Amino acid sequence: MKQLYIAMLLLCVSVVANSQDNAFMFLRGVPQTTQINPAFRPVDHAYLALPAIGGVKINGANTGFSWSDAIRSGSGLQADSLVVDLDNLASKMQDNNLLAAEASLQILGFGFKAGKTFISVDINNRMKAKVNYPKSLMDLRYGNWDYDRDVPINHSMADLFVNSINYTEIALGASYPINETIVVGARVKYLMGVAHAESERFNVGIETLADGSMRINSDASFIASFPMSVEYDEEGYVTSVGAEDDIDVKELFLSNNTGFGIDLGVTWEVIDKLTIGAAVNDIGFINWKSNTQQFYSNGTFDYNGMDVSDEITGDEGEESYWDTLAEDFENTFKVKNNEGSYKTGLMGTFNVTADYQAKHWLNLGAVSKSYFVDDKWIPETTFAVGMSPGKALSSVFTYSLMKNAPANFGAGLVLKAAGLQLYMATDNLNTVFKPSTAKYVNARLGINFVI
Amino acid sequence: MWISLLVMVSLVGCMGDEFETDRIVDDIDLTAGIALPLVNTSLTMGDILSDETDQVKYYKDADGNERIMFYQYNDSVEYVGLDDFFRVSIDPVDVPVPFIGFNVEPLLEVNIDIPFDISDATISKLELSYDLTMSGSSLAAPLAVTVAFPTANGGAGKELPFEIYNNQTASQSATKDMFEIVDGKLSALVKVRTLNGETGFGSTIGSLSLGMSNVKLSYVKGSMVENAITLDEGNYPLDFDVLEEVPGDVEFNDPKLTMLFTNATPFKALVAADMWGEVEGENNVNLNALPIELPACPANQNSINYNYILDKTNSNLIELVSKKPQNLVYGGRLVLNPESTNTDEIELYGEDRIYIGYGVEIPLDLRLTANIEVDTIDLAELDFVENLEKATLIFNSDNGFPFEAMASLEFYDEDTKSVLETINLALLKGALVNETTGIVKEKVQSVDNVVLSDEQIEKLNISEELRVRIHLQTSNYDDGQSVVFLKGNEMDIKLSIKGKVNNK
Repeated sequence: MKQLYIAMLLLCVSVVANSQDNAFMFLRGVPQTTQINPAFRPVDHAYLALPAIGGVKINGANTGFSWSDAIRSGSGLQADSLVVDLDNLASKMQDNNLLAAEASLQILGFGFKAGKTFISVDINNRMKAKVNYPKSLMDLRYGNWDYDRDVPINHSMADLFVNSINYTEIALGASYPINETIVVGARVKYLMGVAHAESERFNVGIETLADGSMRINSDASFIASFPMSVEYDEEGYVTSVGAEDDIDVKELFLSNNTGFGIDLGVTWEVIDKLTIGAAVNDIGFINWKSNTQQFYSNGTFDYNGMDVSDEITGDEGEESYWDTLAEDFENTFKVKNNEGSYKTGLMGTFNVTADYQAKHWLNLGAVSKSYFVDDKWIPETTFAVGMSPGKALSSVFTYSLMKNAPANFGAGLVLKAAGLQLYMATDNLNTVFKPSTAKYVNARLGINFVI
Repeated sequence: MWISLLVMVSLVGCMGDEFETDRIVDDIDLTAGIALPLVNTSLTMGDILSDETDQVKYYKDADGNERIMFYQYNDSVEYVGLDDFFRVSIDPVDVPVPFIGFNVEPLLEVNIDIPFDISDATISKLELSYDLTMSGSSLAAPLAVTVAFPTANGGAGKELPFEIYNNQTASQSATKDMFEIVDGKLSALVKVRTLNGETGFGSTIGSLSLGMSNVKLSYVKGSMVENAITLDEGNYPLDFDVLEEVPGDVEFNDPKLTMLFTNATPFKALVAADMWGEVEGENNVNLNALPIELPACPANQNSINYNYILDKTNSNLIELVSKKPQNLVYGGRLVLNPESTNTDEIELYGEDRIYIGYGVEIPLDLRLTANIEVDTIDLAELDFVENLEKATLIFNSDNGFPFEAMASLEFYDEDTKSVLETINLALLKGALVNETTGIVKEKVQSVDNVVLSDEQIEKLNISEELRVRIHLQTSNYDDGQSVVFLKGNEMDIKLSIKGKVNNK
């Protein structure tokens, strides 16, 4: 049980975040950095990413808390034990917290210079998942009544938000220097959606009235695109949902869920040795048409205690009161579904970078990234020091301020020999050394042929 | 996602020591405040009595109030008829048989008179069903005997044959033969011959005994003087299930027991009934009702219905009903034609009876005081009680019923066999009633918060049982007020708990 519990916690920090890649951004000569800003021109002539291993990215984040926030040394009779400290855990959380995951696999990638233009072609499979969970969830531990103040404690889960998407993108990118200091870049992407799930709304609340009566409101809606088997009752309400037994993988990856996206970027050498850049990535949409479902439920359930009226009148039926209550509860929140198509965005990001080439072997950089989860702005900032003692070696060390994690040390390394390039980077070295305090996990690595 | 989870579980297998999972204690220190509605009810009197459709009826009074009445009717529990009015007694008649006569004549005929003794009546004609029995003694030979009633059935006559052997009895049944009775006697002719035609008898004189039994009258013509009839003892089962559910001492204000009579005879009657209620485990309660005078049926009617109401003014009915008897036992006498006021010759048929029935009507207009042991709650099964740090019980009521309820909660300790704590609280305040009519004039709302002290919670924690007793009392009971329950009386009750629990 404990193993599973820890697994859940680790899962929180090992699922992949949408952003990060900040140390990776400052690695010299790695062609995949164009995925962060399409105006970047890291390669002089051409490159080929080794199929499937040219670019592998795994990011994870749980901004709310770390293991050590939840599990702490006990006191008193429990001094030699570890205890679950919910109060401390809650104190570490922000009003809204992010549980996020991102994975990307570059299936195919190559690029070449044609005149002044550098052209790149990528085929990537990408997965993004985000869960926003409010700190108020922790208030559930207080129950539903503040006994000392004699006031109700009401709970709302309206800020709970889930969005996950998996798609394959075929991207054609180009960067072009419009003068000696400014380079613009763009990447156009044809998208093929594989799977999607998102909470359109999750307005669930538990309200306690002055006399102790409880009211549960629910107005929730989820949309999803995935091969599912849905079962219904005689009134057309959903009774069960599960994955289809035999999923046709080919159909899954080549479905009618198509869309387009674009990344736009620019770099500007403001003064000699100082270049700033800006990019917006993953602007676009996917029109989900295959295996689509919208599940929604709307109802209010009032609980006023066990109704003993039937016992008094002798009208009680064969079914127990609690069975009837459970049935009423289920009926109140019965789920309906639609199968129409819908359109979603790609969870876009925006970044601004600055890079100062202090010495030919030393560069200093900074990046500010922003993204949105359920319309909530989440920024992060990284400062980097890059050292490139020779063409065969490039390295970077970073310090990042991330959501609810002010100190993250990262590092990256590029080794190059005979055109073969091996790179690896992480924004969260401290996770390796002290996993119990980790809120973020991040790694990016790959192998390219670079000319 | 699932693959990630599996990978993580696998990783954790390797990382267990890193996180020292073996040192984690299972229990989480958690103090939570709770507010929980426990029970509620919203009822009207109509709801409560909805299952009692065969014993409860609603009726509107002059002010439009829909009142409630428990009732039970049975209009033909008992009857008295011809056989009770005319108690016929017939003595056997002996017929001598001189056998020597058969040596001369094969047939011997003897005229006899069968005496009909009927108390308090003079009868000239009757129709009856009966068994005619005959036995023989000192018979020298078996006989073939025919009993003939020449005047029976309007002159058509009636004959009944017998084969009589010595010291044996033979019987014949007959139905609805009409006989003329003269001077209290029925004339008959007995014809006797030997069964096999034997002759040569000596001086032997045999004897035949002729009797009439199992007489059932279906018609009588004659006259009657005052005639006292004993009523067989019987009982009316008072199946008032709903009364059994009324707890404690109850005093109904105006119950009524209606005696229902149907008289098809031309005679008045005086019913002096003894009636009492049978109460299980207690002394019977006598109704102490006065004799009831029943009118005669007019000549131009087949019958007359007559209801006589017993109530608090002419009987002990209030006390009888308050004891909620299982049976109403009856007996006594019925005097037909008292003081012989009708001396006419009359004709009565089998269906000319006097039926006696009853109807009980108990309006829900009452005073009540009752102690009820509602329940004993096994606290050992309620884990959360051990974790209770603070607790307040809240009783919300909006009562339109004309009674109040007080509860007594006892914390009982099995080890010391003692009640550690008793908490008394007002569950319901009685609705306000009109002092004259006893009808509810205003609902009463109340909120009673019972805050358990730390000491009480400690006692609750070590108690094994929570005993709940309730005392019910109608509004203004101590003032002697009788209250009226209406179908529309309603009440809302809600019991909630607010508290603080710690899972240590």
